Amino acid sequence: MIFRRRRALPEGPDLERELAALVRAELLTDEERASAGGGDPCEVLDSIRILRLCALVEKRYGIEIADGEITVERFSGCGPLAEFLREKAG
Amino acid sequence: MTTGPTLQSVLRDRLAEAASDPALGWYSGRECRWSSGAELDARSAALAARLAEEGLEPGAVCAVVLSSDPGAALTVLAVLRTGAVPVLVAPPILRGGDRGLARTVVRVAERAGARVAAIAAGLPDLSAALAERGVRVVDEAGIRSALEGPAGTSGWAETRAGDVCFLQLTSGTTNDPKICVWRHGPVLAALESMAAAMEIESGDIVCNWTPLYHDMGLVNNFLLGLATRTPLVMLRPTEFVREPAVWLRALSDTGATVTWSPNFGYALAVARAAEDELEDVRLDGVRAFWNAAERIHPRTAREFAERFAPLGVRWEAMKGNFGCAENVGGATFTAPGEPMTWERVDPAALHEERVARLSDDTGAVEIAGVGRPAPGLEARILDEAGEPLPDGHVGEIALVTPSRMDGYLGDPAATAAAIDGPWLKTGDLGYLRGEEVFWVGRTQERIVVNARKFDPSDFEAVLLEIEGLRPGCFVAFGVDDEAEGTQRLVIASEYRANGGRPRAEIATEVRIRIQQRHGIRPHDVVLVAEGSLPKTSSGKRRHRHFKSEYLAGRLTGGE
Repeated sequence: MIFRRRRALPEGPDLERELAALVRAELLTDEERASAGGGDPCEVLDSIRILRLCALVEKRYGIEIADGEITVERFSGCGPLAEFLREKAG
Repeated sequence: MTTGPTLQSVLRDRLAEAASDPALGWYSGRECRWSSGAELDARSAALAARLAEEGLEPGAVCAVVLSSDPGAALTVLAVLRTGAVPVLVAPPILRGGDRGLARTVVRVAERAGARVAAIAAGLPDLSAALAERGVRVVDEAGIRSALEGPAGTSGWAETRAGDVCFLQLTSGTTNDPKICVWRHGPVLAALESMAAAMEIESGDIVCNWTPLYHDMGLVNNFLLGLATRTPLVMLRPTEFVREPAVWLRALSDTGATVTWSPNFGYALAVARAAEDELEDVRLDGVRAFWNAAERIHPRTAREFAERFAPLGVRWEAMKGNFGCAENVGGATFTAPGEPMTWERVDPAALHEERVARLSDDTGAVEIAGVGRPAPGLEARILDEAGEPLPDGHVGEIALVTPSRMDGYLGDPAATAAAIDGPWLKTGDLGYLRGEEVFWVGRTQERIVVNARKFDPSDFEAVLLEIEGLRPGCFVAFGVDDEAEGTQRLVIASEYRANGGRPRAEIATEVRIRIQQRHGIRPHDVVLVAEGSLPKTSSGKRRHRHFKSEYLAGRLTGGE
């Protein structure tokens, strides 16, 4: 990835909310946005879109997620993903 | 056939000829790291020695369950070097949920008699299941250690032209895939006819992002590049999906002239490659953008050529291809110097009368031409009785081909159905117009999402685990999504209205479980009343019928 737009990780639950907004805006279809309601939008993602989410996270926060780090557990929801990103950011 | 060249001898000779030349490059970010023939030879020798320590020897089978990366490429070379037979299986993108994969790989390993397995990190269930069955497991760390150790010096094992050289799954995702048996002679014949059809010549550079475990990545690119001594640029498929512009940058930066992608890759590039990621990219030098492995949408090809015309993409470079694992590689190709073609036809005549009748109506559908048979191949369209059909009539695409598989491993009935006298019956539907083959669909329902092939039965195990569904009373089919350039999965199942579970809750569980098991999200889950999805009198599920009903708006869950 060569064009990075790094942004500091938001504190507390703000990161989870920001990730949810990112997924809704960039990765869900109109139908999915309408039907997802207040649910966790990460649950909607298939593996192709999870890879795209990794690219978006890298662009936004400068945190690279290696292929081997993409696990069912970490991508089961925006909460676990936020926790993982915080761990990676140290 | 016991004499003559083998894949091993050809690869050995080509690597020696390219000892100090760039042979294989891996592109990432904006850099291509090239390996010379000598480097590939020495690294693969080191890993071959490690695999031999585990008992890999000529004729033995090695399951390779690795992400498509430099280590995987060298592993394939190392396995071939020992004279053993690789069978490549796709690892899951989402690690940690590998129980389903473990079942599939164990079945493949048992059927193939695999002695050794090279597997990706983060697959504990698979590793344990293989070890339990006596398969020696070499993990990614072991592979890396061998590749980073002292250069190997072992030679290439001697094999014979009639030996088996590869086992190839017909689908990387199906629960119990068919396994094609490839021998050296037909593999070399496939490479020769493909190189001739594509007019590969000195000065060409091939670039590919499709995975090694897919026929397109393995044969049309990896083996073809190495066997013809054409420099080959590879990308990690996951990097392409994360950032499609990387493919276009690779083409530009390496001076590639030929490239391949399934249709969805072209759609992804059109939709997702940002202008600021394409600075200084020029694509004038690419003479062929091959499109294959799933339905080709002419609209996607037009959009790709239009969007990237300012970067130098010419319409003449857009090409169609048809191939299958049973034929080892590509069978039909758009002619060099010509663009892919398509026809607009009447859909009712196509599906009901099985005739491709040209139409200018607004409801007409576009059918892509996938080219003419490669040199040495013959293509015919056969009716259900196996008789050739005239031009414009839809039937099964059959090939007389020197690159035919030997058969399906351990499945004589399926082999007999596919190999009928001189014909290889491909299971694909199409029609001829002159010499051009037009691809219409599959004889049996198959769902292809982002070039990953699924059989409807693949979803049965997941659905059986969900409380509230009637066991076995479901259909699954793919519906075309032109915008995404691929298919979307639709699941319809009968549910127990008096079972106590809300329908929406069941549907959500279906979506999540299929996503976890197969990595794809159903586009639609339709839950219908008991008795709404009757089988045929012979007990078969009517996926195709209910797909038509769904598309006509007649298969709905109601309120």
